[in-house]
Amino acid sequence: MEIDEPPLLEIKDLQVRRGSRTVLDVPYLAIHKGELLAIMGPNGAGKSTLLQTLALLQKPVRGTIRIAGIEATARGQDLVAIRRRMAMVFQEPLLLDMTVAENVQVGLNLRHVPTAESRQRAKNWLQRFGVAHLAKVQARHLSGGEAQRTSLARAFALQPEVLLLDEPFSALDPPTRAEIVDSLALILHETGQTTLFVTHDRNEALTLGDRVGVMLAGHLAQMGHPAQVFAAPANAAVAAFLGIENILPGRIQNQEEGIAHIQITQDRASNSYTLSILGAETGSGNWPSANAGREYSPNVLTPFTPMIEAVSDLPTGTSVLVCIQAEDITLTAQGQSTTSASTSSVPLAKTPADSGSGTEHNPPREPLSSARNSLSGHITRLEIHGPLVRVTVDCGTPNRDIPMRVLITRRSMADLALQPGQPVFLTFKASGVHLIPTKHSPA
Amino acid sequence: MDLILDGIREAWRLLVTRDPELWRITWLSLKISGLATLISLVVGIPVGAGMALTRFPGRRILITLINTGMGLPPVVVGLFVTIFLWRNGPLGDLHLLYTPQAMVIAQIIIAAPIVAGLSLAAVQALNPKLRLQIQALGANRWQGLWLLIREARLPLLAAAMAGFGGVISEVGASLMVGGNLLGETRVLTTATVMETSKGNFALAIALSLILLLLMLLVNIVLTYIQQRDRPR
Repeated sequence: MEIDEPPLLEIKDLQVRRGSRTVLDVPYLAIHKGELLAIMGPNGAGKSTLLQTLALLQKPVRGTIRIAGIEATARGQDLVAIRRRMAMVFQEPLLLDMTVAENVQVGLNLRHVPTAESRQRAKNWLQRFGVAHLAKVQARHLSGGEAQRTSLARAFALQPEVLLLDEPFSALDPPTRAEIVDSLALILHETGQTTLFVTHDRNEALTLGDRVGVMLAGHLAQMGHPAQVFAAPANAAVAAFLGIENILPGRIQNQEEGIAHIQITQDRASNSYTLSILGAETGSGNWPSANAGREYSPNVLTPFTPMIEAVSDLPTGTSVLVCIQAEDITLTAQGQSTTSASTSSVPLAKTPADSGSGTEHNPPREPLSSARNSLSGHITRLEIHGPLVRVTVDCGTPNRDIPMRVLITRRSMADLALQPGQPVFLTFKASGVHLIPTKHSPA
Repeated sequence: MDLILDGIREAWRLLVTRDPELWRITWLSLKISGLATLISLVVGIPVGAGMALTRFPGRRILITLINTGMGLPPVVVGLFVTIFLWRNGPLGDLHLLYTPQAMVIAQIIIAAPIVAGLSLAAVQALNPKLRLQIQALGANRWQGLWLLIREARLPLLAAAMAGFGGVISEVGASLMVGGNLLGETRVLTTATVMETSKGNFALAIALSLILLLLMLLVNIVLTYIQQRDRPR
């Protein structure tokens, strides 16, 4: 982003209340010209409130909003004039009871744009969103997807300095949604439109955002580049919202040269902590509450609980949550000959380097790999999600379950002839493990 | 039954012969009630829509009053308008009593609350987010109000029909403030009352049928407009 330029939109110390409840509290947020910021968060996190406050449709109790250098929150500002520099698309298309073309022209007419130009712009944007053929149709006859395309065209026709998108796809069926996301991504890319986009859908945020933010309970919990946020969630709540399916409580046993060895410690307290987070935050996600509702056998630390290596500088004794993305884990069939496993489609980098020497348990015929972590377990569940299969593997001991979730392709499932009860190895790199410190406890 | 048949025959005769007195009465009915309805729309729609969109102390009480006003008995309106326009009344100097203007005033008082109440309900029934979207599109206060009224135009037509139906058919107020003066303030309803009291049932039935026909014609036009672009 152009750091030298002042941001096009800047929020400082913004607070919005509903009754006595603070529904939004954002100390600072800036969007630069040409940037596409995607803010994601569960329903009720305050995303819509944030957008409506920025669109000057709701009054904050405190704080300043600057739009293109104008302090919109100052007394006596002409709010209509500032609103006319922006455009907003809501979750519902909210078209007026007139034709499609007239709908796109409404905002332009309100701004007294000459008719010829307004007609031209409407035509142009309807075309770009693929609904030009519907220009003369009454808006109420449109399908959901067509209506939302019209709504987007209406916003773009205003040539706003800032475009605010409030979950514009969430009411659409998946195929329609995918099509419109694609159209919009292309147009946003081509126009370099400065945009603030909010969604509860992680994938949409990832697809569209140059930068993403995670909003939880009225606060911006984390901001950063998508990869960075997904790889290193700032706290357990963010990790849970991002749908990181494997979150295990543990404690750093020792720390050497930037590699931490973590003992998984699933006591009752930390277990319920994890569950409550997952239950609260991933309720509406695509992979619904991965660990919620899952029965763990309580307590009892056995000497065989797995050790996990992670790239981290956290000191020994730190209690952590170990986050491993389901797609970062490689699954290898166990109990077959090594060759049959290696001819399978599971990509394992075979290197002469020692494998898994850091782990305390050392089951026979562990696959040779550069990955620092290898856990042995057996499949408890196979769920098919389109082209992917979500495999649940119990890596615990007879006394306790440690369910791990792994994503593989359907092909892999067939090639490995996976079925419940089958013993398998799970391997993942130390760099694929993200640690979130929870509290310090004496070593 | 003979009475009714006589009435229908008489109505037919009056229509076919284009009885000048009948035409004058009908035309005056249409003029007075049409004008009263029009003014009620001009006053009632912005008031109703405005009240649907704003919050202020006493709003609920005002809405209750408007809703009560929707059922205002015409005789009560007639009584108070008469008192105000009476020679020695507060507005006696205007010398409006027993004129068509007085009838228009009384009918506005009857129709305006009906229009305002139904407009309030119509605008309130719109998706509240539509208002946000219209604001976000850059509408100022008056542009926004206009777009919302435009959005509610079909239920607002119903308000117009109800207002017109209320005043064209009322008799109490017209009789009291108009006086049923031949050639000046005699309208279909007051003439019907008079002919009935004189025992001229056939003529009374004829007048009633013409009144019904008039209402039918007006509502055919309004219904056509309303249903023309109704959502499927």
